[in-house]
Amino acid sequence: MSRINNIWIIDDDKLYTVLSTKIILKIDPLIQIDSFPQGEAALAELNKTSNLPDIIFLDINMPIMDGWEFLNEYQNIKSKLVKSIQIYAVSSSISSSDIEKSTHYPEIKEYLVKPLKKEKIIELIGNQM
Amino acid sequence: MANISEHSPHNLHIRYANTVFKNALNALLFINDEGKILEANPASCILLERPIDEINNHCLYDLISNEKSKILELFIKSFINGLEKDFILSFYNKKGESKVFSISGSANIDQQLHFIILKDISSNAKTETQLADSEQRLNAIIETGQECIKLLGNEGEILEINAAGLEILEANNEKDVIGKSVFEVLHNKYKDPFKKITAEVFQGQSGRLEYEITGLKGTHHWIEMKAAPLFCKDKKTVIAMLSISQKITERKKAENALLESEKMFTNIFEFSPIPLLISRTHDGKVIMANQGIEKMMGKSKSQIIGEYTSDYYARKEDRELIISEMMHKGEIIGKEIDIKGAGGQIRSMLVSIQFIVLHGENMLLTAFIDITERKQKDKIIESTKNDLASIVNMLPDLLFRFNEENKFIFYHTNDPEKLITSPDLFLGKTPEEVLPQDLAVLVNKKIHQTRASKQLEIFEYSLDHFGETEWFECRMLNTENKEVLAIIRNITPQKQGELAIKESEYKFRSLVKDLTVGVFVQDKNQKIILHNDSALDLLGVDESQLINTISNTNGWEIKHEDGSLFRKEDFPTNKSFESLKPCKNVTIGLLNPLKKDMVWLSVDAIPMIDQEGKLIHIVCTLYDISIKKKAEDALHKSEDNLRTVFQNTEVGYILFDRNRRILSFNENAQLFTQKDLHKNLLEGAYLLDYTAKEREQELILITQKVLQGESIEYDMTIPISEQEKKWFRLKYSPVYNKTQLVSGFVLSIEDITQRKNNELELINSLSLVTEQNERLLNFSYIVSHNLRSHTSNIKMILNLLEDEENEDERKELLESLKSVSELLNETIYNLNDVISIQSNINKILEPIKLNEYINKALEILSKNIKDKNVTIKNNITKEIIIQYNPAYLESIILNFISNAIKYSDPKKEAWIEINVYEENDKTVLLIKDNGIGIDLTKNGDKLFGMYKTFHGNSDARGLGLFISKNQIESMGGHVDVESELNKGTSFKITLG
Repeated sequence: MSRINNIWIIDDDKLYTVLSTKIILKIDPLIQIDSFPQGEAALAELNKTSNLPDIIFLDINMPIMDGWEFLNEYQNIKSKLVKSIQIYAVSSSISSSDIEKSTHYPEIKEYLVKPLKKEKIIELIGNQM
Repeated sequence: MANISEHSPHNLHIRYANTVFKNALNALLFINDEGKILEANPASCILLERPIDEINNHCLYDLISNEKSKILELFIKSFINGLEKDFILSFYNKKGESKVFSISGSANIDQQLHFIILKDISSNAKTETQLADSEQRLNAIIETGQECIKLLGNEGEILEINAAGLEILEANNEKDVIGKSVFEVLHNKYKDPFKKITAEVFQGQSGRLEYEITGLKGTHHWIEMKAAPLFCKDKKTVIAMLSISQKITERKKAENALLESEKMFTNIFEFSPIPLLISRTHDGKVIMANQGIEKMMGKSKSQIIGEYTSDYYARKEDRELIISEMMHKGEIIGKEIDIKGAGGQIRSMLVSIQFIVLHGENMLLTAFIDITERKQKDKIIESTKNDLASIVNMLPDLLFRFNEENKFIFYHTNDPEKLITSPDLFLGKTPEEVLPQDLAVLVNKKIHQTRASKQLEIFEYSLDHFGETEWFECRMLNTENKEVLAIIRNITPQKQGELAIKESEYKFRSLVKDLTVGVFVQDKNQKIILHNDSALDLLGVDESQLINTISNTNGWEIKHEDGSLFRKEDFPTNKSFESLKPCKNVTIGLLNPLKKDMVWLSVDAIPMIDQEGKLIHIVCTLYDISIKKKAEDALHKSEDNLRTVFQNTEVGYILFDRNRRILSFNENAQLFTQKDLHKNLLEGAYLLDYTAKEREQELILITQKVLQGESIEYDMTIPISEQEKKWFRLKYSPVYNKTQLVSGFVLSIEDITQRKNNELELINSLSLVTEQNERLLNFSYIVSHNLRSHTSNIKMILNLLEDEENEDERKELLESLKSVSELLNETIYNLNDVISIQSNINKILEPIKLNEYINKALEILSKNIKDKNVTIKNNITKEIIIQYNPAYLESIILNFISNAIKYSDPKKEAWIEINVYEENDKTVLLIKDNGIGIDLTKNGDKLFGMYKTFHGNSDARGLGLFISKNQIESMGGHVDVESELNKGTSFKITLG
């Protein structure tokens, strides 16, 4: 497993973004973290940047473009991307309909229920210091 | 080459011939001119009954019995010479059995070679002989003539019978009688005599027997039979009884009738209180005398009978006088004569004498009255005259005597009116001089026959008398002196009765054929004497229960159509019996015990009346009308039911014919039309008369389909008032006739307004419940999601705090914790709002100046408006006042306007327009913007859904709209959204 260098957090909950960033940096301060308050901005960045993330933590419940819509758009541009990105759906929803829905998206590696725990992130990035 | 020759046609032929030769059943022989057998086949051994070595090279003639060998030689020689082709040889074989051979073949098949076929036909010949014998016998029997000829076994079983015999037995063909016993038709009292004669015949004697039978079809016959034994060949054994018989019914009937009348006469004669005696006309010998004579003469009957009346006269000359007077007047009434009475005492007697014919002889009936005391003379004369007349009346109506030359020489009648012409015109004349030609010929013929046979001849004839046909029966008797006595009775009434019976019998028989009609005939005592099978069937009785029963109501519970019981005297036959008039078409019902069902009969009773107006028979016909009756009942019932339904139902019915013309309708239909169409239903009016012009075409189509057998149903509304409308369910159903053709249709009209309203209410309440459920679901989702997002953040903060040693970091985290707890508090507060909306049943309504509230909201949002540079177009005038909950209205206005500001398009000159108007009596608030818009197909469902708030924004989008929507709906209104991406959104808030 190659080293995780770059993580994106797409979430409208600013506090959550700040807190998750802190946790990740505690695990590996070298990881570059970019956060997007909505799907649209992240999508625009994906189309633009050459510095693609290794992992995306994608919130499902967001205004305007939610997680599902982001994924729909992502499916369209996926083939153009030079890197394969591990996408984790992250949500405070424990609704079974959401969990079930996530299985229909092959891009979603795992459905994670908030709060994100340090141990889980360590497991995901797999390069604990 | 060998193979080829083996299969050559020639070789095959030989092989075939060989096979036939060896396997043939007949003897096949090759002989030479001398009859020497050159070769014989195996079958020859069987036919000639000797081994093959005794056949081959032997002479054929020697192999068959000695006495026939010469004949065979002759036959074969003529065969060889081509004179005979085939012949039959019969002979006895060594065992003495009779053998018959048929001999044929082909002569001269080669030089000195002949082919002979011997065929054993002994068994065929035997059968043939037997057949010939029996045929001969049969022919002999049948040739004997018109008489019934039977061969009977010793048990009386019929072995053979001729056509005349079948006719007498009334059998259709031989099969019906062959093997059966004559005892089946023989009347009981003749069974023993018949057995006796059968036994005698089987002992070789002949015999004669008269007996009565009832034919298979029920006709009674008198039969005279001559029986003789039929011997077998040995002339000793009797194998059958040959019975030759003929009908003597007519003769027997006449004899019996005569006997009967004579018997009756004898009885009256015997018991008459007046001394009576009968003497022969020609010599005066006393033939009969009654008890009175015994008393008068002081002698017993046996003494008197055989005496001569001439001896009774006190004076010889009186006898001459009497004879002379009788010859002239034909009778003597009350002549005073002195008679030698008991003990030779002379008594003065009044004598009355009449001619009578008794036992076929001319007689004188003499009545005596002792008038020695000379008292009551005239009275006595009168009474004897009457007595004599009544006695004589027992005897024939007319009496004629023909002399040798067939001339009428004497007549007698007890009623001169019975004479067709006066005595002067026929006495001394021949029949042809007096009678119509046909009758004269008949009479002459019969006189001739009577003389020849010396037996009683009976015949009937008719004469037209004053335009009416009168029937007579004539019995002719040969008397000693070649005179012929004709005793004539007027049988017109009987004949008419007979004819009537014949006619009725004919009718009866023709009715019998018709199985559905039951017939029975009652005699004058109401006894049932005739019936057919249908009658039994219909009445559900067997023959024994019906025949001879006096009353036809016995044992049957007979009912009128209305179910009441028939009185016995009302029964048609009883009625007819009383009135002597036909009683027709009476419907009766009776419980048929066989069918275990009510049988309904149409009964006709028709009396047959004789000329004197007396009843002869009552013919009763029973016609089964059960099916009709049941159908009628069912029809009535169903009609009644239908009518009940038709009239009492809530549904209006209108019946139309094929031309859409009204045939009938019920009250409800009339009510509906009157009330809701303001028209009167009329029979004969057309459907389209009640139809609005614009619907005519549609109705024509509908009814066309219905007339093709479809049923069509639909609901329609009729406006009653501006607010109210009535719902009707209309159904067109085809009406079929008996032949399954659509004869019209029924329109049923049902007022379903109530039902429809209920239905709508139900739908409303259902959607309300569904909506509530959705709201609750949404609410629980929001609770779970919104609360969880805060708590999860709190958890994360706490996790970080645990590990964090840097004091600044810790401070920062604690700060975050504080803001999260505030947000959590806010969320809970908002959720509380939602709950309060859901549970707030008593919404306070207040008159609200709408404009004021809008301005208030704009003031609160002034900073945001300024930041986003949005122009607000408030088109709501000051006067507008609405009834609403003020808290809700404030929240609603704030939420929608802030939402519009939030999603304003920074690339455009943003505006928000606020309008109010009335729609369907409801106030509609329209908030329109030219913002970024919402893709409703994608996001419509989450517009008022479960969005968490935008952190850091004071306006709580998502939950805000959710709350507003709930508030609007809880007040009975609703929100509609129109939006297009990049163009703008408009929220149409119907306040309700």
